[in-house]
Amino acid sequence: MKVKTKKTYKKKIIIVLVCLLVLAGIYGTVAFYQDWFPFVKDKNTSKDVNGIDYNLPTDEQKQAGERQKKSTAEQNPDTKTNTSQDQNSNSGGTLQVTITANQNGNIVQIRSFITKISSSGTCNITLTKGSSKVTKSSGIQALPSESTCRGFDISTSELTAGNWQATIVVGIGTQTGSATKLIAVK
Amino acid sequence: MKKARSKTTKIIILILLAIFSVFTPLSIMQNTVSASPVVGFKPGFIISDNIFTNYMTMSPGQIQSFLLSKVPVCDTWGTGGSTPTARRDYIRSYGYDVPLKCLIDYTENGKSAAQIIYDTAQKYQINPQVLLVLLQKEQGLVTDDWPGPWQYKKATGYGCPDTAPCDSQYYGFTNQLDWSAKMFRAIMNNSPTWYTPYVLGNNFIKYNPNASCGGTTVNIQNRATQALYNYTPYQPNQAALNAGYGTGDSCSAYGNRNFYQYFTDWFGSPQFGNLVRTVGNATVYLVSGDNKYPIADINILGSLGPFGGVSYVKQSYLDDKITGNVLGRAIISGGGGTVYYFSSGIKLPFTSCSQVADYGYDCGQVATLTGYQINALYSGPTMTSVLRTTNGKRFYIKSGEKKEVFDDASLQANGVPLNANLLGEASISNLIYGTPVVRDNVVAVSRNTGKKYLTQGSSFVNLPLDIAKYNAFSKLTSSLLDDASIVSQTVVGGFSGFAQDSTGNKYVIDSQGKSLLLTPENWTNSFTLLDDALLGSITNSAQSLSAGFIKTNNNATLYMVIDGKKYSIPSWGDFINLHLDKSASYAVIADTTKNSIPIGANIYSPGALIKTSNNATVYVINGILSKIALSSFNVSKDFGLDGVKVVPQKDLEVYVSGNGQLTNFVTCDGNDYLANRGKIYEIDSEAASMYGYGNVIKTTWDSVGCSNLNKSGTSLSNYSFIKIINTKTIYYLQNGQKRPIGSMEKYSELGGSSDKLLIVSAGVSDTISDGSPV
Repeated sequence: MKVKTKKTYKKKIIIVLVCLLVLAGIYGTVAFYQDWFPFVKDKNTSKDVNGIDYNLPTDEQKQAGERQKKSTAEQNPDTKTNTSQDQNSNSGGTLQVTITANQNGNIVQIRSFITKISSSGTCNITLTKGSSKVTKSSGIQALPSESTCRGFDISTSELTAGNWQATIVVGIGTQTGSATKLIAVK
Repeated sequence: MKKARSKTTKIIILILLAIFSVFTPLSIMQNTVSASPVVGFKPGFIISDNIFTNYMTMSPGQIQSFLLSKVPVCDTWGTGGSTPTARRDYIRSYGYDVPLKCLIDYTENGKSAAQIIYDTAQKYQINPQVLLVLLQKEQGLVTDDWPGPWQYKKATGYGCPDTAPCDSQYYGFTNQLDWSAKMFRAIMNNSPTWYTPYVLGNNFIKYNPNASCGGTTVNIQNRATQALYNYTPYQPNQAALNAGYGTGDSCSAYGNRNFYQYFTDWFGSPQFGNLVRTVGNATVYLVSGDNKYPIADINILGSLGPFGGVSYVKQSYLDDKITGNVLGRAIISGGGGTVYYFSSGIKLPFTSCSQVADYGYDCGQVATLTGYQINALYSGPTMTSVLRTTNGKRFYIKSGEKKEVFDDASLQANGVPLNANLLGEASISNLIYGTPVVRDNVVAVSRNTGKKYLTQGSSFVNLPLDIAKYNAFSKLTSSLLDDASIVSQTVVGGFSGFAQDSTGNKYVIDSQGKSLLLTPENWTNSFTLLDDALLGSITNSAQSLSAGFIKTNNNATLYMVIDGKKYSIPSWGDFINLHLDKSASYAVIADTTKNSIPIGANIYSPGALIKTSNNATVYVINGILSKIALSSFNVSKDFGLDGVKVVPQKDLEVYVSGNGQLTNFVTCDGNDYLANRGKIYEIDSEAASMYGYGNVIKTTWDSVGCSNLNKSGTSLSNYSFIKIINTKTIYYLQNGQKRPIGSMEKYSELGGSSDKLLIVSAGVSDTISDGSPV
């Protein structure tokens, strides 16, 4: 009999506890969406007269920074044990080159982007259309995250309307690379 | 025991499940950051040149405070991660070790990071906020409370290809900032030694280093945006933009998106900042390219709302800009083309340079704005020659003047199209008022004073308010005009209700209409010429003004107008007796009309006896404005006149004095009369002979004066006998003599009877010579 009484008491406590937890869960869900306690958002923004935000960064801002940080993490060169290619290395290999083109009026702008940062080297472009051929050369400009040929803006007086095949050959030290693109000249 | 343990375990599991069921969704929700899409990112205009190069936005102290606000506590030992050693282990995995230095504590060559940022900004005249955002978007350094040492080494990502290790020549915090700012400045200066593959105009910009992700043609509108693409040669795709600060898809790139996001959230819109001033000088300038245009009109500044607020810059920043003309409301894009008018943040294209001139501007002198600035203004309709203002006015804009429009019919009469744009009146504050567009014969009401004006050709006739109320004018179309419009016209004052038409007919306008004046000179010499059509439209008044009696509605005083003056009539008796017909007629006219007639004095009825208080001479008023001295009260008694009025000297002086003194003889309307005992008797030729009155002195009375005398119906010649009152002697009148009759028998013998006997006053008797008894 004693045992039976104890069992009934325990059951009641459990049921009450479960109900309380379910209710707390419902409140929590509603509170989250309605910004009730404990999810009240701090709306007290602090900006000075010049509109500079002196608040703590938001989670989104921090997470975006964190992703960037981790995507650029690199080994301490002082403790590096492998022999990965250094950017300053001029050892032979293939340069990756891409071409974009755009026509602004009577100027056809052909751009090339090289996945190596260098301000020396040469670019040679050859445009062919049937038996027509146009060639140009330029140096290389280093950009913050790549390099580009210092050209090419070609007048439509040199390129008749139609499809031209453009091939750019880039040489930086012993490294070379090339890309080809069909360009529609209007 | 086994069973009991099993039950307890079940209970515990149940509770744990319940707890889990509650907090798991919450914890998931807490960790799920709902992305807010990027708003306002324009791939062709990420940041304005002015903001990009405003190097005075923050001092070193402000930069330091900003950094502190983002990382108040630095996790120097890397213990703040998911486990106490997670961060430290992460750092160690790359060959580095704690302690870590946050940006706020970072120094290089004895300089704090804040000072280095500031110095770099000053050196290259690049906004330090740009550099702060650059450090964040490349390495997360601003918000990072446990940065790894490599983050400083390539702090701005300069010299770091996307697919290869960085170039070591660019390493170092100061070095990185210097290279970045140097490149920015070179591009801002369009340096011939720094080649940029991007041009102002159309460029093909990829979404991602992976060429297969594609891209679009982007119209790069300014150098600052051009500089950013040199830094990060990709534009965010839609997935990146939808993700806010989050991650998009495999083709997303985040550099320029994050630049825009961080800048916007931390320092405000990067796209504006065209309006600047210094701390010491309140003049605000609109900066566009290398030019600055001072803004002298607060309303014009207010119309540039889409350009954002006013930023503070150093004087040297302004000094580097070429000062243009004071900014008006006409602008043109740097590329030429359409000239726009702007107001309330809206740009409205002009249709021609001639229209620009109409609005007071010169196509060759308007402020030149960048394409982006032009595009930032909302597009409105084409400019029109007529403009409605939000406060209910309408103007026709022509030759640098704003001509207020009376109504549609006025515009049509002038051949001006009715279509009009609606703008704030302040938008045409630069224009002077011209003559308003208004048709004839309408009433313009001053907005400022409420005064009313009748439009007549190129003139405005000032309508006194009491006259304007008359139907003749109240029925006319009326509309409000500014006083400035009204004074630009010839304003004709002095209209008092007296008007004339082109043929010379003269009228008084009263409450009932118009009254033709037969003797206009009697009223005034000042008649206002009004349009024949207008006068023709006014009905004829039923009031008669011919007798000259007037009053106003506001005053009981009656006046008689005589020879251009108005004389007040002191009593109703005088008023009646001043009328020839003894009627009580008068005309009601406007106060203004009455007041325009000079005041005379009091006027009394003819026949009245008047004197002043300081002179014993009594006068008889024998005409409207004439008097004659009274010889004795016996004479006035014979005229039937009594009751001397003591009047002011000025009243007396109104009357012209006749010669001599009043006798018993008077001439009225060409006939002579004898005044006797209150009546006047006509002296016909027979009586003149009988009474000997052929050469007596007579005074002439005017018709009104005569009308006030009691005329006997019997001529004096009917009376051949007289008897002096209160005496018994009867006289026979013969050959100009009065001959006493000795007996009644003789009287009968001479044909005497009561109807031939005139009882006379002693005075009258004295006027007849004595003869011998009969």
